[in-house]
Amino acid sequence: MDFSQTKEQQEHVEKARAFTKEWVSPNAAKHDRSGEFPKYICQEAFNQGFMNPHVPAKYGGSEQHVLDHCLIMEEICTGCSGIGTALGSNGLSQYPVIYAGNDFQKKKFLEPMTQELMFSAYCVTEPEAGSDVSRIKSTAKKVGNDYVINGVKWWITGGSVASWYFVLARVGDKATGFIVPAETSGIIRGVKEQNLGQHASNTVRVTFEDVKVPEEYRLGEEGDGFKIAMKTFDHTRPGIASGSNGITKAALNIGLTYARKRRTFDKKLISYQGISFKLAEIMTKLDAARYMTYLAADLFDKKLDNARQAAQAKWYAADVAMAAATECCQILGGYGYTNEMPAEKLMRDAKIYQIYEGASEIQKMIIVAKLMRTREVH
Amino acid sequence: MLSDIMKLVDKFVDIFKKRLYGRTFRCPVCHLELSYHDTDENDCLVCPVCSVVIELYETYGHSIPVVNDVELNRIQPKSRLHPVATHLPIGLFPFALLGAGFLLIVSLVFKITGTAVSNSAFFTTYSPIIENVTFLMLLIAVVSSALTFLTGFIDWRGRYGARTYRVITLKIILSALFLGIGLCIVLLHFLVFTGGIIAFDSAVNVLSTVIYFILMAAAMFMLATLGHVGGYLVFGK
Repeated sequence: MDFSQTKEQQEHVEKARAFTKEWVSPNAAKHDRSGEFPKYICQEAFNQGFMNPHVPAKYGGSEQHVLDHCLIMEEICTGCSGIGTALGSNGLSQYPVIYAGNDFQKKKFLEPMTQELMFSAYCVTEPEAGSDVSRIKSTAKKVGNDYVINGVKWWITGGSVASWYFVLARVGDKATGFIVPAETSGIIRGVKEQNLGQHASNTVRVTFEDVKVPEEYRLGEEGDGFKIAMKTFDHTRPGIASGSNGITKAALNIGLTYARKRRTFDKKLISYQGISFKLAEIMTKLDAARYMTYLAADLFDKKLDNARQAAQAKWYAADVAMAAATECCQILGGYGYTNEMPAEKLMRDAKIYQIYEGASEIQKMIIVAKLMRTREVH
Repeated sequence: MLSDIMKLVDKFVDIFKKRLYGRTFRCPVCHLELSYHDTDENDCLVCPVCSVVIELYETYGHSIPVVNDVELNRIQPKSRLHPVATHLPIGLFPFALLGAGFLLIVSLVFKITGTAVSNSAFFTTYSPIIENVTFLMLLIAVVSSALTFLTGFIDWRGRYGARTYRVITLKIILSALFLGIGLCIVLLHFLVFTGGIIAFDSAVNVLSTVIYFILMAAAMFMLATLGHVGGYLVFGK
């Protein structure tokens, strides 16, 4: 087992770190306060090759390994996970097309995204169907050579800026995936949601009213939708876990810097074990979360089943990020509570990682489901 | 349309701020926006509003302003001339602008409708008075801005220990600009107005009028900014 980074991975990391320090961190507070979508930062990320990393080379993409992508996302999310989500969320909607799309669909929807800055969105969640995707009520009725889609999708990341959507809808009782161009008539986008954290990320309601899509925009066969949607998560969960690791790393760095400099009772804060032990615990948990993330990503890159490992990484990394952000605020004391320091934002941003892309409870269910099929754990 | 104009103004303000302030951070106590350039060679600064001593650190691009001390017993100005003096230009200039604007509109109406000035009771009786009052307010505003600048400079050396802060650099630049532009406006006033009206009877007159009102608008913008920034320095965010 070689735990060191390759030369290429080191280059990716250094490039991402420089980008984060120049573009992401200095603008994090501004976008957190205003909620403005960071399009100019996404443009710079696109210019530097950080966006759309999974698109196959045949369609103009860099076909980057998931592991490399995780290393990059961790760096960017150390600056701001909201901005990281804004520029990384394309992957969630692109992967269904990469996995189940035919050549025509890939050429039409993936290729343009490698030529200029564009966004896409993953429309699965509904107001009454979050963790339980099987409860979705959106319908797609076959009319001639078209499908007519009706439904309401909620908490759609990038919904206002997307050029196309991956939509999960029922054809009869069969969940089916569709690609829906954003300019199709009948699509209504709601106002940006005012969430607890990740304010830079655009999250909206998307309503489909008699939206007509041609048959050739259907992904796979009727009934393949659920499988496509779930397979996508095996690909994206390591990236989400690495976003959590970015928050943990930011919390550690901020807490460490502050504890080294702040004086209390005539001693530096870090000289108190009550404080320094917190930092030691965060560091240990960060490393544990990282290696779980890398394992999940590496298994995917080797085309091995990584469902359990991805679930473990995502759940654990999210919990570590939340704990680390809380401890960072605690170390900063009163300054951890004010929005003029970067600590409180970490707490607000970290929470979503325990919820989206499969809540922590769902991840545990996935792990148990895998364990149920295991006679012995070695 | 108004929101588009505001967005454009915000964009220009952002560009200007970036050039003058560079990288910024906020005082964690009073929320005043400070520049990285405001720190000394030890990366320390004293917040001009709340007087905390800040040591500025950075990690992964995040600013970490650490407070370990407070500068108490700061020098209070013996006289309060600057706060008093500053209200003269801020109070009078907008009314000078209003007066000039009113005379512009009335002059335009009479020019367009072709009504002879001699037939108008307004022009013969009231417009010279309005013009004189406008000029007087303009003159007092400009002259008192020099007094405001001087008293502000003295306060800066006393209360803020002549420390360089970008926010105060901004005030000094804008004050000097306002004084210069104000003097130009005072001189132009005689080219623009004759007997309380704007005649629009020659190219020189028309050009002078255009420049006059552009300078008035620019001066008003500067004055508003100066007052706004000054308020920040006194009251914080």
